[in-house]
Amino acid sequence: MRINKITNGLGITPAVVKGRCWTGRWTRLAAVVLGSWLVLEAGPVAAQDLAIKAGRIITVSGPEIENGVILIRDGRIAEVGAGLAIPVDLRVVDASQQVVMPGMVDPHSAAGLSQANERNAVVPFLSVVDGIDPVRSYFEESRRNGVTTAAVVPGNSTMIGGQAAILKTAGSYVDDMLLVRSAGLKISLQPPSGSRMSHLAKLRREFETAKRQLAEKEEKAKKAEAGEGKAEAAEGDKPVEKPAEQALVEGDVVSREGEGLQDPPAEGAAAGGGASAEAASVAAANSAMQDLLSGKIRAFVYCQNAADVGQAFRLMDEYQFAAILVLGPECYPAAGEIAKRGATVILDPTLVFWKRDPVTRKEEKIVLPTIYREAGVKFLFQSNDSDSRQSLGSSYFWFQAATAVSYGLSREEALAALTLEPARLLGIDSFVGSIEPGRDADLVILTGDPLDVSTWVETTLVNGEVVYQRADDWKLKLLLEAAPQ
Amino acid sequence: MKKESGNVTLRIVNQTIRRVTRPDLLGPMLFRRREQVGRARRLVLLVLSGLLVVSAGATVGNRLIAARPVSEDLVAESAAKGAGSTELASVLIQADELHVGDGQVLRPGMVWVVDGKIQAVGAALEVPEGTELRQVAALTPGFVDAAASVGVAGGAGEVTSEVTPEFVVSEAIDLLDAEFARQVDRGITTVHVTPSTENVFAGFGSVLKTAGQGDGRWLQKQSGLCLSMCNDPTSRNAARGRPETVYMRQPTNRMGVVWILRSRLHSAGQESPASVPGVNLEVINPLLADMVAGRTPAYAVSRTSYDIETLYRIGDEFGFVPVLVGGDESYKVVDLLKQKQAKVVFTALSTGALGAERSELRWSTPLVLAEAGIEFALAGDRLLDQARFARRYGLSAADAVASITGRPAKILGIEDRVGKLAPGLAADLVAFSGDPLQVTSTIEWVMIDGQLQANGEDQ
Repeated sequence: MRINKITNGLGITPAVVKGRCWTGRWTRLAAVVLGSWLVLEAGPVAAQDLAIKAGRIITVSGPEIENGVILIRDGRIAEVGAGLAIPVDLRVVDASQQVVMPGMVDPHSAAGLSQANERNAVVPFLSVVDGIDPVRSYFEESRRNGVTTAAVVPGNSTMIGGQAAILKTAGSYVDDMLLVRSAGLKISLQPPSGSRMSHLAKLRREFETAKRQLAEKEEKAKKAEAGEGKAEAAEGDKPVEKPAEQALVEGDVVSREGEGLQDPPAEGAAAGGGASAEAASVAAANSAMQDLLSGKIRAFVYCQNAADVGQAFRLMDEYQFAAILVLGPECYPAAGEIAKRGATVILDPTLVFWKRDPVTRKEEKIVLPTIYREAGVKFLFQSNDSDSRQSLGSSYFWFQAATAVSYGLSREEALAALTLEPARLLGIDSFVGSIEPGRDADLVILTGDPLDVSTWVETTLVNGEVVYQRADDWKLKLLLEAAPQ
Repeated sequence: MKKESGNVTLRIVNQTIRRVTRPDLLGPMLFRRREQVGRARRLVLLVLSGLLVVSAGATVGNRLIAARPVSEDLVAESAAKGAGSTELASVLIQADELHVGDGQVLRPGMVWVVDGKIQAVGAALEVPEGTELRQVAALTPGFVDAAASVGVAGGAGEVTSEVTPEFVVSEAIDLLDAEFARQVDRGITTVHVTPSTENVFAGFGSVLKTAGQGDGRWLQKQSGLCLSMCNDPTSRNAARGRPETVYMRQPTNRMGVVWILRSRLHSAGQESPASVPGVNLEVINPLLADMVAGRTPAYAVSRTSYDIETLYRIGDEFGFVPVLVGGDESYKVVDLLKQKQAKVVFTALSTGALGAERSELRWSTPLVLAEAGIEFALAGDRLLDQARFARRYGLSAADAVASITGRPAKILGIEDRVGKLAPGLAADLVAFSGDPLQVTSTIEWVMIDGQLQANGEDQ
């Protein structure tokens, strides 16, 4: 997994870089250098350093702090505690009547994409980075509701749907927002049409191909190490080493996507030591699958029902890869199996529903948080693509967490499920998910308790920068106008 | 189901015993007996509370008494009879927060239920020995959904005609429909089921309980005449591929909707109206005349501001004031609604911003209506969530609860039977684990006509 976090890594606030680094890494580096110079010479960035006086700080990783202070320097949390002295150079944000919590982390969302699914079933070489639209309402809504980090993942309808990325929800260009460029490969066990047997067979074929390619690659590397056939190995390795995104640039893959990728070439073509151009491009296209099998990246596996969960575990065992399970509502009968595995799962936004028995016609109320909690499964929430903009906002994170609390989840667990737990699951908890020194200053200032129905997000900060303020939110004001004109 | 319900009762009765015998809880159990308890009923309750009561020397007079453990025999007997039994029908519910349903909140409050009806409500009540005790964090009246579509079997719209005021939705309701159980689970105890909005004169709605036995469930088999002063009736002709006869149906646009409303109402006022093909004036006109005269309520669906204005203009022309159903843009016509003293059944919180007519919703509309003093109810899907979000959008907690309990009951004209916690009304109660308007609170149990309802998870 590559952490693309140059901005914070060099201690430069993104605001300096923002708007300049749209052409890629080199430009970005140039901007960073320029930014460093600005810091040294002009020092306007210091205005961004903040001290937040908070009535209550929900740190999530530690105890809550009453009347505490959070010091923010260079977009990161420098210090947290009660009774901290506030250095004179910090701008003070008075939230002494308010509650501060870490920015929430959405562990699985396709809403940031203009189109979440491909018509091709096998597109491991695609990356959401190419399809993210920062102007989409998803990001605006996220900031409005205190979600500061989101794993944008391809949709649930493509067998191998491409690679996910983890982003901050603020920024005008996707590169400004990226936290992890390649965050995992999306695999769906829900057949778009046809039987599950053929779906699984196709999926296995892809795994087998990747496994073979990986084995060949490793063998060649071994040979190269032993000093045999150096030239051949170098030649053969070259395309494989290319990042998946670059495969797109080759052109060949994309232009022939229709048939060629759904039915990968016969064994000989891909395995041939001669490495034809086609074979090379297929191998490159498949590099994400190889990365999955070699443990470099994980998978997000969507399971539509409980049988899919079993299949997911079988695949994970057979091919030895790590995966985050994204569960449809009907997966609950597998709760016991999931608990045995100790897996943390991402639940469907529909937490409570009714199910009719096909024989007795009797209805049963299914409460997912209760079922998983009682089975001992740790679960997370995800925001809903479709329903979230409705007036009853049932897919808002706070609403889902509060619903889970009404069915017995503890308040602490619920708050962690919105922040630290998804950050842990995504492997980004050293950056986000809690309020402690060294973490990104992604903070939400709330009017009250996060799970209270009357609480609103007052301010959202990403990397120490204010990205949402309710006082300036004209849309919300319009919707809530007490005396509309 | 009865068996399970019985278990629920038994479990709670057992809790009662434990609670009552704890000395620290005896304090609140000293209740001043209310004078309105009839002597006969008191005697019945005495018998019910166990034969040992008399020999134990407890006196039920005008003195303070302490509730005492219900005898084991009685518990067993009650469990055997199940929840359907009317035995042990005296229950006192203590709540830390008690919503009366009209905007009043008692903290704490008590409700005494006898034989399925509310006997008394107050901050402190005295009840006879043997009265079962329940303690809850919060209690509200059962919710009343004034615009539901639950239980209608096989569609609620007539395709062949746009004027069907002689239709009655109660004829199509399946009382055993599974959706009723879901409604109970959500705390909804009374529903106003209305016919579909696809006809200009859609027919009569019906008001009924979501649970209970037989005919006792009906509060109004014919609640009032349902009209559609909106775009919905034109939609039937918008679809492609229908048989030609369907295209003969009017209206195809809003002007047609208004014309049909006006011409039918006009005809109803005529001594010898001109005949209309396919319409039986002898049946229809008396129904419309009753509505115009105010003998039958009118429930009219309008969402956009211009439809609402048209609706009340037509009302003015013929001399009636309909109840507004929908009302998405009612915030735009507050003055008109105030002037007409209109009642509003507001459904837009459940339909959302992209409602049927893409009307411009304001989340603050319940607050706007409340501040203007307009009588309104929240209605439609997810009733409790609507009240919760209405509070989020500025309505007071007491008003939010009232707008899904007492207010809809009043608008439907059933306020003397349900919707509030007041003596003589049906014991329709919803118990919560905490503040009813917090999403973190859960419904602990629902009671309809004094009967505990088995909830979904226990089934």
